[in-house]
Amino acid sequence: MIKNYFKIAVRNLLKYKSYAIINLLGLSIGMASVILIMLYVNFETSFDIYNKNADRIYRVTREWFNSDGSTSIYFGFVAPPIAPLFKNDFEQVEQAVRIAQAGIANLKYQDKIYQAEMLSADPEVFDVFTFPFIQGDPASALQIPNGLVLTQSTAQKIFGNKNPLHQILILPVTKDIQIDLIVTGIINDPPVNSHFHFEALNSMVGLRQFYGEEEFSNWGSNNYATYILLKEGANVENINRAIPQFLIKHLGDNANEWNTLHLQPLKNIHLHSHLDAEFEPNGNIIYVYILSIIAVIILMLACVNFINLATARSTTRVKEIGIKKVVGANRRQIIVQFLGETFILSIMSLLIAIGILVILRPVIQNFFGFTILENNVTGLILPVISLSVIVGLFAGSYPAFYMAQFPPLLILRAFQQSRTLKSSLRKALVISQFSISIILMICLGVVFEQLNYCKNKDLGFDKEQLLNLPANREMIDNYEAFKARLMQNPNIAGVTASKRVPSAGLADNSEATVYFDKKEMTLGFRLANVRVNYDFLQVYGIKLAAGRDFDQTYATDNGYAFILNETAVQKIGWKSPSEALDQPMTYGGLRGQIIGVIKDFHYESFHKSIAPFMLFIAPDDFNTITIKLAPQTHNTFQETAAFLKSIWQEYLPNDTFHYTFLNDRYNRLYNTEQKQGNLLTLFSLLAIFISCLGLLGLVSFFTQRKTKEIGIRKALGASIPGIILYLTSSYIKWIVMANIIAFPVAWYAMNKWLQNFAYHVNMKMWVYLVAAATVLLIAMLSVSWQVIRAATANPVEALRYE
Amino acid sequence: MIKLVDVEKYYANKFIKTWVLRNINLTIHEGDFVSIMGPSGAGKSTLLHIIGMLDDMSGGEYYFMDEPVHKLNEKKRTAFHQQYIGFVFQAYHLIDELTVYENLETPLLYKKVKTAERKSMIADMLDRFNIVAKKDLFPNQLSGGQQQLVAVARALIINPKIILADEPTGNLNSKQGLEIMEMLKQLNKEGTTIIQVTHDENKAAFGNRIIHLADGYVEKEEQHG
Ligand SMILES: Nc1ncnc2c1ncn2[C@@H]1O[C@H](COP(=O)(O)OP(=O)(O)OP(=O)(O)O)[C@@H](O)[C@H]1O
Ligand SMILES: [Mg+2]
Repeated sequence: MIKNYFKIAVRNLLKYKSYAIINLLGLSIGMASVILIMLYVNFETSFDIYNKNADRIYRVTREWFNSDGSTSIYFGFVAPPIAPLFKNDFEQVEQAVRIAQAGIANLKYQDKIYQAEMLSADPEVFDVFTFPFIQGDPASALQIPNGLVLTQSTAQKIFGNKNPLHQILILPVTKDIQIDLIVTGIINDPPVNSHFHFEALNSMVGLRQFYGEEEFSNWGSNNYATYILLKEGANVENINRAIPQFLIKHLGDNANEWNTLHLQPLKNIHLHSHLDAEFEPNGNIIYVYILSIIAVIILMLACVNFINLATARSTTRVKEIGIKKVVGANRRQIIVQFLGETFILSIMSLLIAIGILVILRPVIQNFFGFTILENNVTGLILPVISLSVIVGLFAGSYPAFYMAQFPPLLILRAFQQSRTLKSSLRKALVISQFSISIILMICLGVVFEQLNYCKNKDLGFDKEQLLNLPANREMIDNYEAFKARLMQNPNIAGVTASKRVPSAGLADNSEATVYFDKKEMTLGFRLANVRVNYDFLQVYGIKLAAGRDFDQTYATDNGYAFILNETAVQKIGWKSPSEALDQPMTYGGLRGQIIGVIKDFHYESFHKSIAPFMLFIAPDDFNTITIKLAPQTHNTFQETAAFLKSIWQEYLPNDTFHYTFLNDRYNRLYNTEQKQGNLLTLFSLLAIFISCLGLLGLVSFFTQRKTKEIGIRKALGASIPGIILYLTSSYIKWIVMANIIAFPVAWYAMNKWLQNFAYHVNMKMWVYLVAAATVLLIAMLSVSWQVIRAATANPVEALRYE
Repeated sequence: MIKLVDVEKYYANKFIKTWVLRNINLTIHEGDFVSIMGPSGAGKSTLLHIIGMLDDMSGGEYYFMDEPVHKLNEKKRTAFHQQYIGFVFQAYHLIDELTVYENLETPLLYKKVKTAERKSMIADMLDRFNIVAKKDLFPNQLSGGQQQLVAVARALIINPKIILADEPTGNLNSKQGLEIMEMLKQLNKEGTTIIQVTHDENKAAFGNRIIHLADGYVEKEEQHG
């Protein structure tokens, strides 16, 4: 019996090849999308679970409040005293460790410099996180102040086949100071699915000796990611409840009014944490949801194609079903047969889908920015097989039940009665398919419009032609000479340096006071700062609203002069920028005067409203040099870059020369949106493709059935355009209806999405119209071939065909 | 074996009822060989479809082996098809996607006949109808007459208690047609009930009863032997 079913199924597939191809193509694309998203979700949800105690690990985060109680800033990093105090104050905390970013370290070994992404960690870090040691002893590796733990690949890079243990690496810290680090441990590379990565770990004990006790008791230095490991069976709620008391004990009675601490489960960090300071940009659970929904939608579109084509074409199977019933088949057997056919199709599609994914794997990893891990793949075998079963059931059930209820006598009758009812279902399905395609197209349009806006809108300063060079200690000491050399080159229009550059986020702040109404007043909001060097405004093209720029000829400008932005001036309460001029102000430990007010510009991404901030000169405290190229340098860029490199290497012969364009850094702020845009492009194209495939199938089927009618109409004098219109008018109507459904849905969704941006485009009607027109055009193009062929056929041929 | 009481059939088309069968009262006993005759459009095929449980009646009662067919569910009807009824369509109706061999096999599959037995039954049938050479061909590779032979063979293969044949010899040459009629006669002698529709007086004469239909009424009935 099975053999009989199988034979009929295969012969049917071969007989109606185009129909089989439409279904196979649609279903395999749908399945490939779903498997891909499964892999992606699997990856995104696997972050940090490599830690044996992941369930008991929490990160301490810190939130500051404005005077009105709203959140001012929310950091994933906290102050250094917190970890030891947690261990001391809370009996349920088994271990608490700090990890601080040390940036790219230039490690010198036998006169060669190796760069490594370095973190500084407390010696007990291996009690909390699971980093298996290949060599060395986890308990003691970071106890020595100059101990250094390397990942295996870094050790391999530096030492090759030599035994790395107990080797010495030299870390230059300032011009005169360098530290000998001793390799005390080699660990496996941390997994990709970890919320932080590093190539080297140095000891917090050493850092403490270097910075001194003052830094380590400073509640304002929020640079230390702090993780606690709870004792087994401990309840995190108990600690949460005790936090207000903890803060009062250590920060005074009103501590809870202006800040608080939170405990964040380790496993939630990657998908749920988007704080103002994070190790790396995290994933987003919403993104995971959206992608899952889209993948399911794509698969459903393909199933709908199958259902539509199967029911439309059921007339061709009526005879077979009727005969089988007459010779003794019951309804269940017919259902089993048709479901079986769908399963065959579904399994074939699955195999094709897997093939597609295997071939496209490298492209996919790049495009989606995630890694397909082997253990994720094996974990998916069962879900993927059930996927093909589910698809078989979902796509196959309706046609199977629908066909099984055909009375045998239908063979003998013109197949009329049940048509109208079924075609209305089909119509609804096609309309919803196209609605989805149009919605995706509109989303795509809006996302790219917003991206375009973000990248091209005037930021309030000139971000073009700016190069950033990372500066280390040695460079800081040579900065003035370096700058003087560069300025001799006519292709270089300006040089400055700063602690942070626009696009980097306003991470630093201090307490500030100003005189307002003749009283000294502490600011009730967070006033961020950027430490800069002279010429900062000139190089960045930032305009003054009042006052003057920092000037090297005024001795007081170094540390006793502040420049505020307009937002800060407004928030303080001054009516105009000029009112702020010459006002005394304190900031952190600094006491000085406001010498200028700059016009607002977008220092951070468009996601954020412009924040109040201020600039002051800190000649020795910077880590980035910014170079403005002269306008004509477009063609001479290579030459200028070579010049920069040669000068750079005069000062730092051992250092690699490396620059970034500020423009690129700005564009990277919208990486997530760019990725969303790319995915939307992919999926909306797939959706349109699958929908058109289905439409093509339906149209070619119905057009074929109308061949005779078309012949007669033409014999009676109908024109070719008339016939084409007659054949396509109902499909055009369907797509128009799809638009009516799609517009409000897309509008709602995109309105929500745009709320992520403090500055965003207004949705324009043309995006909607273009989406509608595109989908209509693509749909009509895809059916035109069939329709035109039918319409232009010789009427005699058409009549003979029947 | 078959009892029709006041059976009627009409097609309701919006406001007009088109009557196809009226007032049909008919009893057919086990072992009967009934020929139905009448002009084109008289309702012969319709009557045969109703008897074969392929079509619903508009009114009246129908008993098949004392079971009220008008009240039976589909499951029961399927069981009758599997066990008792062999049907030959006027338009042959072979499954286009299956070869001659596979077409013959289909009823046996539904009847769950074992493989070995199935093979010998099909071989026997192919032999009896002289179509062994055609067994791997598809219906569209056969002539009309050959298709009709296969259709008859397929009806006979389950050894039905009753054979319903709608012009089983319509497309055959007279020699083949007579051979088929002889075969039916032989089966009838062995106890199979047969109802055939035919336009041909000679072939009608193979039956022991001839029922004349006209405009949906039973016009007259002749009894033979
Ligand atoms: N679906 C239908 N709707 C309306 N009338 C129908 C339908 N099917 C059959 N008829 C009518 O029923 C009548 C009887 O048809 P039937 O096929 O039983 O005739 P017949 O006696 O077998 O004719 P022939 O000798 O040509 O095969 C015909 O007049 C036909 O037009
Ligand atoms: Mg007939």
